[in-house]
Amino acid sequence: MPHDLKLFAAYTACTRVTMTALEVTGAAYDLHMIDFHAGANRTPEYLALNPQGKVPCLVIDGQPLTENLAILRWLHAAYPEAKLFPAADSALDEARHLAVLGSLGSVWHPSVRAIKVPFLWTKGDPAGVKARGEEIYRGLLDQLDSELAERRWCFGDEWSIADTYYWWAYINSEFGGFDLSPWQNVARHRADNEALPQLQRALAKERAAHEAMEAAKQ
Amino acid sequence: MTDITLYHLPGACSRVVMTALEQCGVDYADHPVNLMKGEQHSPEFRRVNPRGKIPVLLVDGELIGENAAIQWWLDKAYPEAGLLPKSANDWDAAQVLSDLFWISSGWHPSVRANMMPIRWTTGDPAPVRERGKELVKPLVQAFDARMADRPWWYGDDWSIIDVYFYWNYTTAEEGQYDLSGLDNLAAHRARVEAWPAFQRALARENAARERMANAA
Repeated sequence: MPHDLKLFAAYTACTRVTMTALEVTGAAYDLHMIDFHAGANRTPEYLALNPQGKVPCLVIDGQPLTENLAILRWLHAAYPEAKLFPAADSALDEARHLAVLGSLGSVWHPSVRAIKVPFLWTKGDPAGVKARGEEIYRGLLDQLDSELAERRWCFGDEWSIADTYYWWAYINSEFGGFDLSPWQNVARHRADNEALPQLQRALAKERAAHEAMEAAKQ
Repeated sequence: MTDITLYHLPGACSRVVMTALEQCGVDYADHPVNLMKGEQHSPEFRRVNPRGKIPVLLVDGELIGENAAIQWWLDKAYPEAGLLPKSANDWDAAQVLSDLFWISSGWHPSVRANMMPIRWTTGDPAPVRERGKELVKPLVQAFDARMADRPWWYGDDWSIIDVYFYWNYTTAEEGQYDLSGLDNLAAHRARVEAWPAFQRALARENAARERMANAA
């Protein structure tokens, strides 16, 4: 029986990664945009699903699952043929895949947030937070760029959803005014991601849902 | 026999991994990496972990990074240690991962803003710490509320997640976050501190601290 899937997402959020994963699985899903500006993430109905008031939240057969990384791993387990992650020969292999996800969530994402929305990390002048975020992020890009010099995708020859999470970090840092041009392998990796039809479908669906939400406000 | 080495810093979140190793009852070597002296950037450590972070675990020469991933692997490798609840299916397993990643990507960066605001800004750290306190507040409140009717995060049984939460809220406290009034959290804290594997990890951290002091 196919799963009944509902994704709660927000415009330009890391739910782009979740949506791309869903597009790769080919599973049907309902998309619900959460309007953070209107406080839709703090309504009692949404907090009942996700007490953190964050996105993504994937409601699977009526049960909510939160945290992007956990959702991506569940999709991988439920739709193995989509190959969201490389095949793992051992628990150690799998732990390495989890570690890449872990660093995206705990290091990359917070650093990009410091660049794009530095005021979320301080009650004072955001300039120092942005400068520090850029310092940390440059170190991350240096390391990744050298890894991508040796392989097309972060785990090797095959795309994985972790690649698209990196892509999301790139474009969000750019929204924050960060210049990515010094990292050539990163630029190539970005273009490879953007050539994926599933990523383009996710973006088109996100834009359509966002426009419908905005039009409903008029 | 598996050859395991933990690279850590006493007091850092590597304490959670050390507690996990103690709970598993395995032999392991531990190498403190003195972040205050910048040892994470040394060529020796970069050869172990090019990303320059702790904790990392070397398992028969293979590297595993990221606290959440290490905990997950130890649970798979030593299932009898009871580090994580047994998952009946993919759904259960996803809920445990959701908790692990919630702590590593939600709690830890917020606690860092509170405890080490200097890591989040090149400017005045004081307003970053204030913001960190705002971010920590709903997290510790949610934790306290859940612990009202249970001794451990998952109910009757201890898991390594309890120690991961403990490390986060006590580190927030070191960053001057006031935990008073959170009575369920306080009771949880006392339970973690009485847990034998946790006490063994603290003793081992103290031994590593002495080695670091002697080397300095």
